[in-house]
Amino acid sequence: MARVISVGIVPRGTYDFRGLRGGSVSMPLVQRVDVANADTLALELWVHDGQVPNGARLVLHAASDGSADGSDAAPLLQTRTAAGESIANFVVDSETVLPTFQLIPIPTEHIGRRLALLLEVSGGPTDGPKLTLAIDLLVRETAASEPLVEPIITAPDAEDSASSACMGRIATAAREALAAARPRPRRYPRWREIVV
Amino acid sequence: MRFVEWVIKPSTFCNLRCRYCYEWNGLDDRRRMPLETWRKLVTAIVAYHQTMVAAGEVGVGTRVILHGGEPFALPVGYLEKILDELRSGARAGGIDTALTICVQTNLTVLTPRILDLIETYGLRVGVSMDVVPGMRLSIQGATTEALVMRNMDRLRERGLRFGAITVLARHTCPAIDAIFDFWAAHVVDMRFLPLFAGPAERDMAAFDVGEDALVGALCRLFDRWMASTVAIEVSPLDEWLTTVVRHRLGASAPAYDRRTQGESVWVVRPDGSLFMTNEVGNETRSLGSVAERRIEEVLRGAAYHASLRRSDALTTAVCTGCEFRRACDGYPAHTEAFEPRAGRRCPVTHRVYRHIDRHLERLALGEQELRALAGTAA
Repeated sequence: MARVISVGIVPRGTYDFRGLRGGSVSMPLVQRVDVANADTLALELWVHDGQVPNGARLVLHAASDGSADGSDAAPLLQTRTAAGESIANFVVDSETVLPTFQLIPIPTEHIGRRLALLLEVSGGPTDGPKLTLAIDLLVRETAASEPLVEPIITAPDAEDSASSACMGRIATAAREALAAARPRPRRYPRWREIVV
Repeated sequence: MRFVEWVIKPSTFCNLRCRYCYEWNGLDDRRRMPLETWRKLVTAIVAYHQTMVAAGEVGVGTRVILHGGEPFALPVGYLEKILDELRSGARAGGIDTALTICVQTNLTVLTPRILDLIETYGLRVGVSMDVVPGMRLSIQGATTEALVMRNMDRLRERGLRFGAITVLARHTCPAIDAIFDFWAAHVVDMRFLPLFAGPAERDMAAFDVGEDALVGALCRLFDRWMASTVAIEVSPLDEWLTTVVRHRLGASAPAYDRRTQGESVWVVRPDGSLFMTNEVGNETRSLGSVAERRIEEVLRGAAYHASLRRSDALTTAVCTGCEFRRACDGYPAHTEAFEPRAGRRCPVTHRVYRHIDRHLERLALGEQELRALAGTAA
């Protein structure tokens, strides 16, 4: 069975380019992600919310990161293959219905050892885009022919999971558990919904 | 409040071709439940409710869930007729105040008339949407998620609340975090439904997923839910959490027993035939048809009693010796599709129970701590 590791590489955040009128900017979001052992790669782009005015757009590019270990030199971020085609990208423009989710496969043969992500943003005539997004990287570790994927179970640290919301849910469950333990000569199962 | 649910398929016709749909072979079948059969079904619904009340149950509710196929792909005039029949039958039987009507929809057909229908009849809406595109396709093969999102906005604009169901399969298991985030961002109560068995004519390779992946996704979902600050229900994890907490408290839940508790869920096919939820699609397991027999006759029939014996055998095989037996009412064994044998536990639920139990262990929540938590203000 193939195993897919899901790594959150861009936490949820808001990118505000509303002041960008007519121009464009390109910025690296993530660099030096070591993917040397990956058989297949895919990005999970999640756009939670946003506004993209007419004429504006945002393009997420996957890039091969030519950084060398220990080097302070500016990295060479290559977004195109030797044939001049984009390695992988996804466009969000005014036609895109938000929120949206997109799985973006990345052909590993065009990525060297390291992966980078670039954001290319173009403003419209009057306004630029503003988006709230997050990106996960899916790395499959076994042969590409293996069809099945299985996410890794990653438990949060205890101190993180013991948030007030978490404890509130457990307290609610405890109250329900104790209530159900009271004598009830007849009852229906608590089926709120169905299984079909 | 205890509910008797009637999951009714007026037709299996659908405007979509979701690749994993267990009704795959009937999606282009435009036949509808005849009105005469519908009226007999309403009689059965009312009679069964009255039987429960007469047996001494207090606070019984009846919930009718229009299912399919796609209910909203049926002519609005037909929907109005069956809803009128249902309401007048319930009123005549004195159960109208205990009746809730729901509809499970793909939300791709939402005309102004259907919006009016939802409002007029007070329908509660459940939206089927996987968030991850690729499986829920139109007949032409187009993705539908963007349309559903727009229609969700239209429901909100009318002030109509809804819940969501997402199917756990190959496409959704790896993206479980993003899917949770999506529904949480919209503050929509969500239910995750592991892939259901269905006809082999479907392209199984496109969506099939193993038990390990289902368990992994549900465990990860549990962790995500626990870490979230959004106040939303996540089913079935909310019930499973209660079961595990009950286990750690040393408390017990009344065991699932159809003989003493009566039925909670009936599934009705377009021809009026009745099924248990875990036997839908197996025509040899029909309990009889309300088009041909009154509900009292169905309950006395050989098919129904054979069904009870199967339930008993399933509970005995799967639940005997399970460490969660007293805390769990045994119902999960009757919802998962698997071949039961003595000593085999519920393939998915049992493993997720253990994950939840470890989570509570890490938080050092034993009986004393949980009792203290239960005493805190709600």
